[in-house]
Amino acid sequence: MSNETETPKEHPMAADDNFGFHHREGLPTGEHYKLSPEEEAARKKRNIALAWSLLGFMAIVFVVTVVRIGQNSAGAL
Amino acid sequence: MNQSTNDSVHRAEGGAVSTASPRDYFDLLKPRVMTLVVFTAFAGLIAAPVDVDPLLAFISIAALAVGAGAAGALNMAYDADIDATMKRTQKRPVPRGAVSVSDAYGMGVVASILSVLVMALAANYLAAGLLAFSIFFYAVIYTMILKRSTPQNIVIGGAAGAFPPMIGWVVATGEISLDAVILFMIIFLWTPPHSWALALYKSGDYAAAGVPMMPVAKGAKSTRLQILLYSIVMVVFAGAPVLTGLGGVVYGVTALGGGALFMLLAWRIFRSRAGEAGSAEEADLYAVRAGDKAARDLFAYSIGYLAVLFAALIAEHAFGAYIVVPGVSA
Repeated sequence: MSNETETPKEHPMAADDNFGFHHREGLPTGEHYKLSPEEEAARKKRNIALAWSLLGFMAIVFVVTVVRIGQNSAGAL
Repeated sequence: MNQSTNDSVHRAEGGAVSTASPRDYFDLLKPRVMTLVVFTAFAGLIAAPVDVDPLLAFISIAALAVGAGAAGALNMAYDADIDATMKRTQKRPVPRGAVSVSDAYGMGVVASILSVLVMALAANYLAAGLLAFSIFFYAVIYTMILKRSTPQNIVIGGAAGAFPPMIGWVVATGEISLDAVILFMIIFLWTPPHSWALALYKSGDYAAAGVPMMPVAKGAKSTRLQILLYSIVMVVFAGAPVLTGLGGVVYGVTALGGGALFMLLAWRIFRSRAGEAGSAEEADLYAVRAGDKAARDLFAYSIGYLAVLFAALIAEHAFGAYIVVPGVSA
């Protein structure tokens, strides 16, 4: 069965457009997109900024909750 | 691709992953506009006759700032095509290619929702509703409908920028009173002469982008007349806080002096041939051709005028500078 050893023909754009997944079946092709150093550095900065933003949002919700509970407790007394 | 089959690595041409920095995303929020939004909202909050928990007040103003920024991000996403043709806006993150249109939309929508949510938690539902409406008004009514269709775009759309002091007031009081409406109206009436002064010396930019700003649609002469008329109405109306007792002597003197200079500059524009020298080619906001200096002067001054007017209110209500105007009940 010589057909089994042949490399299956890929769509010419499959490698570029599907980020390591077969363009039709959606299965991994074993290929990976490697980030350039600039892309990696930029992504890291964005991730850190996003993490701080989420942390800030959590802190805001926490602070508002605490202040509101304090106000309501004072009002109940 | 041989490279990809050999080492299981490939790189999409031109890069498939963004190299945008957090700064690019921050710029989507129009930080300079945010500064004025925060300042006027703070003035509304301070001038209101109700004390608010300082922490909740701070968080509410921050939510308002983010909401205004979110509206700016949505504006930049939708206007990417015209921003790319206008020299003044070509360096914005989307036309520059730093941030994609879909990312700008995504950030705008997420920031809008979170800002309204935080406003509802920290202040009240009315303030949150007004914030949501102002974002909708700016992003949809102004940006998507009015801006490209009528020379009255900034007259009606100016309402979006007039909401911050009213929202600040509502954060404190939980209701819309006459004074809140007066603060809204001052910015609403201030917007046309401010925006048209800029449009007079950047009309080429707007014409190239197909935006029917007043000088493009009706000509420079008509625009100069309308700047003068709106300036008269705005300067007179800026005295209204004195009549209701919202503004004291400091505010009254500021409104009088500042308004007189505003009128002088508006008169200079009316008497000039501003807008007829051709548009300034430079990208710089204040770059201007010789005949258009009067327009540039009013544009620059109008920002300071509004800031000083609201600073007077802050000084009176936050720093004890309030002196009742004789004959007016505070």
